[in-house]
Amino acid sequence: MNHKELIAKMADKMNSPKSIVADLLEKTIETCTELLVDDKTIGFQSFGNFEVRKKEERLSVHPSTQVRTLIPPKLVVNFKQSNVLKEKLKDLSHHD
Amino acid sequence: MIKDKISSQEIIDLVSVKASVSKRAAEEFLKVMIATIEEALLAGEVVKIKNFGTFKLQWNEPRKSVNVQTGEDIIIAGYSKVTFVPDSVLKDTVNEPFAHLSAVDLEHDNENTSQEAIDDVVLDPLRIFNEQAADIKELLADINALSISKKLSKSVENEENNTDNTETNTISSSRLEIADYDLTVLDNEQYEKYGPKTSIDAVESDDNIHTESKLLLADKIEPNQESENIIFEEPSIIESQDLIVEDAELISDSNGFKIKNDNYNNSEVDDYVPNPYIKDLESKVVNVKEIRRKRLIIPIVLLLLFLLLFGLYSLIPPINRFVNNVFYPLNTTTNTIKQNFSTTEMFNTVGKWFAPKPIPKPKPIVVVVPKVNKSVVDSAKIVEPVDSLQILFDSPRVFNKFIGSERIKAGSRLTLMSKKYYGKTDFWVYIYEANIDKIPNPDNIASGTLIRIPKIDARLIDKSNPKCIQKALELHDLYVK
Repeated sequence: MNHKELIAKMADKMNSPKSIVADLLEKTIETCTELLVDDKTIGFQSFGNFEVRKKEERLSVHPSTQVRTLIPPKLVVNFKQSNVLKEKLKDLSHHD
Repeated sequence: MIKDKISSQEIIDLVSVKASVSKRAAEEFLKVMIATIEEALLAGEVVKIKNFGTFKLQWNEPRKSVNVQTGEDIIIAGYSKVTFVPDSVLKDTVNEPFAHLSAVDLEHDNENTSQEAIDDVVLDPLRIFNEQAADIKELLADINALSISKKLSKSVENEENNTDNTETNTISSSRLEIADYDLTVLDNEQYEKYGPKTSIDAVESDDNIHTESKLLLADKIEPNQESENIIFEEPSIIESQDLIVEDAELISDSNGFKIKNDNYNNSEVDDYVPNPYIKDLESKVVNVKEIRRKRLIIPIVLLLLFLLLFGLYSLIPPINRFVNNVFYPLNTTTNTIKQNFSTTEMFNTVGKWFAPKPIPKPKPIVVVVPKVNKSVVDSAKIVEPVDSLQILFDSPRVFNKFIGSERIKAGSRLTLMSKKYYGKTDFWVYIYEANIDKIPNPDNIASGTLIRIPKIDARLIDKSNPKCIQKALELHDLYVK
């Protein structure tokens, strides 16, 4: 499901035009991004938490060329699902 | 990690302000959004939100673990998990504080290798130098034994003990610069003044010191002797008259050195016997200095000439032939001169810059030019057939002649047909290409399909040519993917 499909489905559920939904979604994403940049954790009830984590710098060695490279530190967005979602997923038919 | 946690309610507030909609609308929107995403995920779909990221379900296999307290094996059931992969836009915005950092290669190895290379370059002339020095030491020892009486050598050596200390330092570091020669000259002058006393005192010195000083003396004369040695060899090889003249001077000089020594032994009474010896050395040092300067100028001039010639050669094509005919032989002769020259050059440069300078450089430039031309011609010859095959590979294949047809049954394979008609299974791709309109999936062909076997250029399906097989395998990868 891509962005457009998501908007279409949400518009269908909310009985509102796609343009409004798209606008709202965009605003929501913007807000979330801003909050994450401010190093805040966002918790969506019954869905999960978004937070920014710092990956420390590290030394990596290329396995075949043996070139040692210093990887700089970086900030990444991490998502952790909530327990509610986890329980829901348990009911899911098992993977084959 | 203590962070401000933003709840859904706060998000709703912020969004409502930003989008200027009621809180209720924002709340409803957020709920629907999460519900939709969840729904899609539960249906096993991937949810992608532009500028944010992708939600995906990940299946974690059941695995064995150990209960830490009881030590029993337990099995952790497999479970699905929602994973979120941030979009590159989000990644970049979040990582902005560290965006300026980039991965750094720590290339210690490269530095080491380059240092080793430098060491090699430095060691090479040093080795030559040492070899020559050893030869000269032997020669000098012989000369000393023959021409200089025991007394004379003793006095000379003892006198020179002091200078030799400084000189050995310079020699050991193999930095034989003209400045050092100046030093030796100065030192020698000092000996002329102070020599008498020390020699008288030192005549009764130990035999050990005596032998040592002999060696040291050898070291001292080494540079001069070395140039002599080389010069003895040179006239036989070099045709350049200038050099011969110079060499001749030196030869006469070196001969004179011996003769003079003998003469001084007999004739010069008032002076100390070592002094003429040292004087001789002095004069020789001066000679060598002059010659060295001359030698330095000659290669530089030659180098410039070569560069000029080369520039002309490469710039004006019509002159090329003329230059080729007239100057090429000339160049080679000059080159040979340079080659012979280079042994002395080597020594000079070792002393001067401690590394072999690229004075013989013009040689490779001139010699290489015809070689390059040849190799270009050769490679062109070789490349040609390869190219024609490559053109054959790249040109679109048209199948209008067919050598047979097969109907697909259970167990039929395009590869088997290829083997039957072309002799190798790898060329099935061409059959597939010829029947591409009938075969939607080469791995699964509907039975009953009539496959026509195309007639293919024999060069394309040459099973002895690895290039053909390579091409077929490439096509195989293309189609099977």
